[in-house]
Amino acid sequence: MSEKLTDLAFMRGLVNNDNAKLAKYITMFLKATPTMLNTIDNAYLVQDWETIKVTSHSLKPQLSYMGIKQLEEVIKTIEFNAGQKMNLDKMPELIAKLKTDCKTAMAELEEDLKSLS
Amino acid sequence: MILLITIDKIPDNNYLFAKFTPSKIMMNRVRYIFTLLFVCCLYNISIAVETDTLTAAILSHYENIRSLYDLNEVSVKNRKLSIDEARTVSEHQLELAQNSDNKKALGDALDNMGLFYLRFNKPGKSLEYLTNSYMTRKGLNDQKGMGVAFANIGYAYYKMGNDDKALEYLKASSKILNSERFDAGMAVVNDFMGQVYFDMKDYQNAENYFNQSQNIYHLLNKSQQEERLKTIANLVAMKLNSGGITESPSVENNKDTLRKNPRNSGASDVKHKVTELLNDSKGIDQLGSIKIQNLSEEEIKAKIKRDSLELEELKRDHALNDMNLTHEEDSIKDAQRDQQMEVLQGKISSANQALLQKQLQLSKVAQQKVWFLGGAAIIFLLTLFFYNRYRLKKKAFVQLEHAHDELKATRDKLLEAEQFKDQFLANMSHEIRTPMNAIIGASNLVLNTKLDEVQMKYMRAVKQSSANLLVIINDILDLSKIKSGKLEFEYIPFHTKEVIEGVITTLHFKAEEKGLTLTSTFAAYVPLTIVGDQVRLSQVLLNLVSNAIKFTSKGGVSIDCKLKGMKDNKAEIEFSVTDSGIGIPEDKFDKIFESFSQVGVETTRLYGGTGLGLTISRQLVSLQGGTINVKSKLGEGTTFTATIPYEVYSGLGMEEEQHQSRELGGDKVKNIRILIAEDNEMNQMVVVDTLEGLIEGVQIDIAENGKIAVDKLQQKEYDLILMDVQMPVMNGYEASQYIREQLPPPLNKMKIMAMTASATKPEVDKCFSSGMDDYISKPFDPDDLLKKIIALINK
Repeated sequence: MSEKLTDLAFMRGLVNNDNAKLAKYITMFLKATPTMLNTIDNAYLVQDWETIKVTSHSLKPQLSYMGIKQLEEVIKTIEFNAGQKMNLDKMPELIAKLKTDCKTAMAELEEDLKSLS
Repeated sequence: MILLITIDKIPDNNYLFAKFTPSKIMMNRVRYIFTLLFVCCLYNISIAVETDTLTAAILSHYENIRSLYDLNEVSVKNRKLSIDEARTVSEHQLELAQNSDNKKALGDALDNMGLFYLRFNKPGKSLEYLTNSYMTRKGLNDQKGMGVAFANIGYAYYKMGNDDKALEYLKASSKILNSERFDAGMAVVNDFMGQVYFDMKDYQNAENYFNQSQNIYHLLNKSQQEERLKTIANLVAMKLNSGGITESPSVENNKDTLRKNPRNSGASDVKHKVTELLNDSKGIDQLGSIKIQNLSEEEIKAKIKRDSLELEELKRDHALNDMNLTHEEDSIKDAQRDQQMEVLQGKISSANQALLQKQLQLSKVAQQKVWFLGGAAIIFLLTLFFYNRYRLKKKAFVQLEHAHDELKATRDKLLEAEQFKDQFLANMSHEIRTPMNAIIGASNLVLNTKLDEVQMKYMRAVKQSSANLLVIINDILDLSKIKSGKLEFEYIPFHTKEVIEGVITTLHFKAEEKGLTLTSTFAAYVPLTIVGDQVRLSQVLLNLVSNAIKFTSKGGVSIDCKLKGMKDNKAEIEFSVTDSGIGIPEDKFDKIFESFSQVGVETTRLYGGTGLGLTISRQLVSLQGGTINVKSKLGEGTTFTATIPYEVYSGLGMEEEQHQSRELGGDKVKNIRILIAEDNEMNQMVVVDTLEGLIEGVQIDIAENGKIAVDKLQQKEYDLILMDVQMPVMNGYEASQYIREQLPPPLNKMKIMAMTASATKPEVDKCFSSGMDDYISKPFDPDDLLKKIIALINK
């Protein structure tokens, strides 16, 4: 766990090292992600695979922006499995992994946000 | 002083010293030694002169003292001196006389010594001196002296009891002194003769001689002596009478004398009286008479006898002294002599003091001389020692310097050789490369002609081998350039992506030949234009990629370019080359970067190569301030990652880079109106930020879903729609389809670009089938986006 999950190199490039803008993006991510994760969670409870597919699709670029490479494959698989309605037995595990890592990533980003302000 | 100056003159200049020949050094040393000795000699001479002067002064003092003694021989004989004084003075006088040439003084001195011993009843000892005195005077033909000496000798024999011998000498003396008309001497001699005869009991002769002596004293007007002898003569006459001898006329006189002296008035023994008179009143001292009281009767008798003898002796001595006094200086009175004596004694003591002082001074000078000589010797030795030390030190220093120079020369030679080697390699490589190009060119020409299958095969082999050889030569050339530090890097702007594309273009056929895929990814926001050496970057990547292809038999090779971060205004760009090849054992990670080394001998045999590729790659990367790393798993594949810092073009950072991009095409699409259909707030923002940075005066509207987008499209004019695929209410496909099918022209011709998070083939196909014009994957590369927008607008 010593290595950070998040990597803001992409974002820094995008905002041209504008800290205020970077902070805005991070804040946005911190606000949107829990909602999305909650949506996926709820959708899974009702086995709403379509919602899971759509939400994970939306979440995917967000995770990329924050450089969370570790979740790239996970989110891709969730979206794919939900879309195809296959390997659904693996979904709880994948969603759990997604939630755990996102929580860690958000904690890191909160720290980054503090250092930016 | 001279010494110091001389030492100062020793050259301290290293260069000069190094040039000194041994003979020169020797000459110099000899010169210094002589200078030193010369200084010592000068000082010695001056001391010697001073010493001589002093010695002369002291000698002259001795002379003075001696002459003083010569003048005062008389006073030495003076009876008023104590026994010790008399002995000291006599001995001193003799010593001085013996050291001088004055024979007469020597005779006198010997006489004095003789008389001194006579006086103290040592006639034997006395006789030695007196005989010497006679011999000395005989040598001088001093008749008078000889006569005196005989008289004294005679008296000495008398004292020894040898009356015959005494008479013999006294008669001889009488004869000489008579012929010399030395009356005072004659008086004493007659007195002596009288005593001898008296001792021999020949009273007749005794009276005669005493009378003669008395007569001479009378003539010489010496009344005291005359009176004494007159009494003696009278007494002798009385003795003569009592012994049957006829009375002489002088008896009456004697009686008178006896009457005058009440002490002797009752004396009947004539001989006793005579002896007493002869001994004179001064003969017995008080001390002697006191001593007698403590002695036994026997001893007292003996003592009395001895004392009487001494008295007699002193008496005679007295007479003898009188004779000597008369002999030296008749006219000088006793009192005057005493006075003179005192003065002279004072002079002698002061002279002695002066002498002592001079001696002290002389010894001081001598001491100084010793000190100086010792000091000079020590200084000389010290100088020699330090000079030698200095010389040795210099010598050691010169030797050390020499050794240092030799080492330096050897090192220079080695460096030169190394340089020569590299130069040789560089030259040779260059010279071989020129014909090599000709061979390759000609091979290509031949291959373009009509060839049968076998010929074609051979020619391809020729071409391939030549190409391989060229690679090796180029590697060697590069390595020698790097080693000799002659490799210079260009510093010009170039497109990062073009380099990767160039590498793929060059090697994709090679990959295809082996049935491998060769792909590349170019991460977003890697600066498009960077400043540096494009050729060297290509070289590194070509090396890594061709290596990867070489060691991979299935799967593929990919080049991934990423922005690692910004550091000191430089973009650290990471180029990774990943293969699915044989892999490298972990313990060989370091070795593979060494010159001419591969993972193993096996590797070389199977795959060929010089083992220079990675060495050169690493050198090139590190010379540009970067690093190269390897990660590998045996049998699974290897990833080489080169990270190189590049300055972003124009040095103004990413914005300028984007501006650069705009210049490349941004102008063509400025002020365009874009509708973004995107439900995700964050994605909206990213797109807006990107577009605003890329296109000047761009107008952007946002629709949260496909439905809104369709509505907006009908209300306002747009040049382009960026359509997210995944949206609520109406997704991208549905919206696109609706626009194409349901909206009237020209709206149905609206340019639509899909933005998709998963650019998989089915999805891309779906985009196109729904009527979209192009697609871009999220997160997108700004440059790609711009390119695609331009292409689409200008379609």
